Amino acid sequence: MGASGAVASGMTPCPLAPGRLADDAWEGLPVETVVVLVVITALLFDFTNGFHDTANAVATSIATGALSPRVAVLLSGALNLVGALLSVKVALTISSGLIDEAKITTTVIFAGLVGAILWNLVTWLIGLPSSSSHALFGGLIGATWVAAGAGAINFHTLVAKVLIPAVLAPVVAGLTALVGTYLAYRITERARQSDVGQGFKVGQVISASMLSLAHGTNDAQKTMGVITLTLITAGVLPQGSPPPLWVILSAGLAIALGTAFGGWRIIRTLGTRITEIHPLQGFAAQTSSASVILVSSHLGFPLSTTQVCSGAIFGAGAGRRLARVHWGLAGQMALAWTLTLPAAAAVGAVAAQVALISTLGTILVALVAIAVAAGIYLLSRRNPVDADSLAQVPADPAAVPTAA
Amino acid sequence: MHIQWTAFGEVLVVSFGVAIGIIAVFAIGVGLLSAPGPTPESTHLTVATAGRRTTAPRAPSTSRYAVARKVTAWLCFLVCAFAVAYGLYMIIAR
Repeated sequence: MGASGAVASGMTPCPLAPGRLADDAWEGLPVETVVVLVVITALLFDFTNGFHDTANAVATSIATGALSPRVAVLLSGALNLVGALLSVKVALTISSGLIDEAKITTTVIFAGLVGAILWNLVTWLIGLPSSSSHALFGGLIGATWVAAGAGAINFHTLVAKVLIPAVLAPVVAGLTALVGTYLAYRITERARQSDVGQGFKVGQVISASMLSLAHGTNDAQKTMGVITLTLITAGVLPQGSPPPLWVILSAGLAIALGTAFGGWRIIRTLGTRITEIHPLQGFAAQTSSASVILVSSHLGFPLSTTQVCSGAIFGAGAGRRLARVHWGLAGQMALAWTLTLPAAAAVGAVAAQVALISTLGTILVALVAIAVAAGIYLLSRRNPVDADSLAQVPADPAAVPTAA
Repeated sequence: MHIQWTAFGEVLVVSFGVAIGIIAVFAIGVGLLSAPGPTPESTHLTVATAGRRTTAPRAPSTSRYAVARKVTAWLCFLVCAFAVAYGLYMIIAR
């Protein structure tokens, strides 16, 4: 998914008194029902996050045959689960300082999650990789704007930590992959190419595993943060509590299941539609992505995993002499990245507007969200993409040649 | 508005250097292991004796070269393994 290195600053204490619900929208509903509803919504978001972002780690490995599609997504799912369990610090705030978390209520969280889930599903349907973190941030921003006004949103943080990295991340990763690919081809040009391919396939398995592990650590923790904050807000947990074991396990399992479910549409886009990927290019793209993600995370600087991986694949494509790169797709992706935050914010805002009216409004939002999700799923069945069909998709012939 | 351009630059320089380093070292290792094998001409000397052409094994320098190539290749992979281990450390310690 998305922001790989969300700022580590500790779980934000909930300003509300334990035992009290965040707002009146849930009036009449028992606390347990509210908590269960928001937790389920958060886990659903986590699931969509998993299958939406599977492609980041495994698309090039599948495209080169380094891993079979099913093995790739199962391996990635397992490593996402391990990644989710590795770090117990859970030092991520759910909003990374984008919004005043003192203004977050259970309704805001619920509406923000609805916005993020629906945007993830729409972009999955059309096979476009977009940042799940940006979708979550967008949903929360939209819902917060409606609930607490624009003053609750930190626009400086939005520009500095989301918008500028969104522009720079794919460029940095692409440039790194381009130079790395060019260099690796030069180094190995006199070697037996069949052996070179086999060697880089082994490298791809390792680099894909690293990406999956990093993804599980980052993105599952964001959902853990959402659920924990909900529990604190509802008074189920005392303020400042770390996430309970069941939250860690359920968030880890949700993202792992989502990953293993396989977002085949986005895998097809990243693996076959940008360029024809060779094992060397796949290794260069994945190593560049892992390097950019881990270094930026280490320096406390959030970047979108999706944008990094997509940029790296374009760079790896351009780094091979006479490779054909479908640059038109870059424009479509850039459009999706540009729209992610405002679109999720718009859905989150509408959801919050309706949900804040009353309990009935909240139920209405949930029902409409379920109906839209079901509609998107049915639309996807008209043109199903699965592990078997993925292996038969050739690289896009419309791709244009590029200079090495 | 304060933008952390230095941090951006740091991410660019460090990640670029680390990634290019790993890719290059791994490529050297793969390249060394995948180098074209010795041909019969390179491993055997052709000797003309009393009108008959026979072949004799060349001096063991070729096989020593092959061993050195393999050792260097595996040293390259070891360097990459250290990089992966450091990456794991960065993931876990975060």
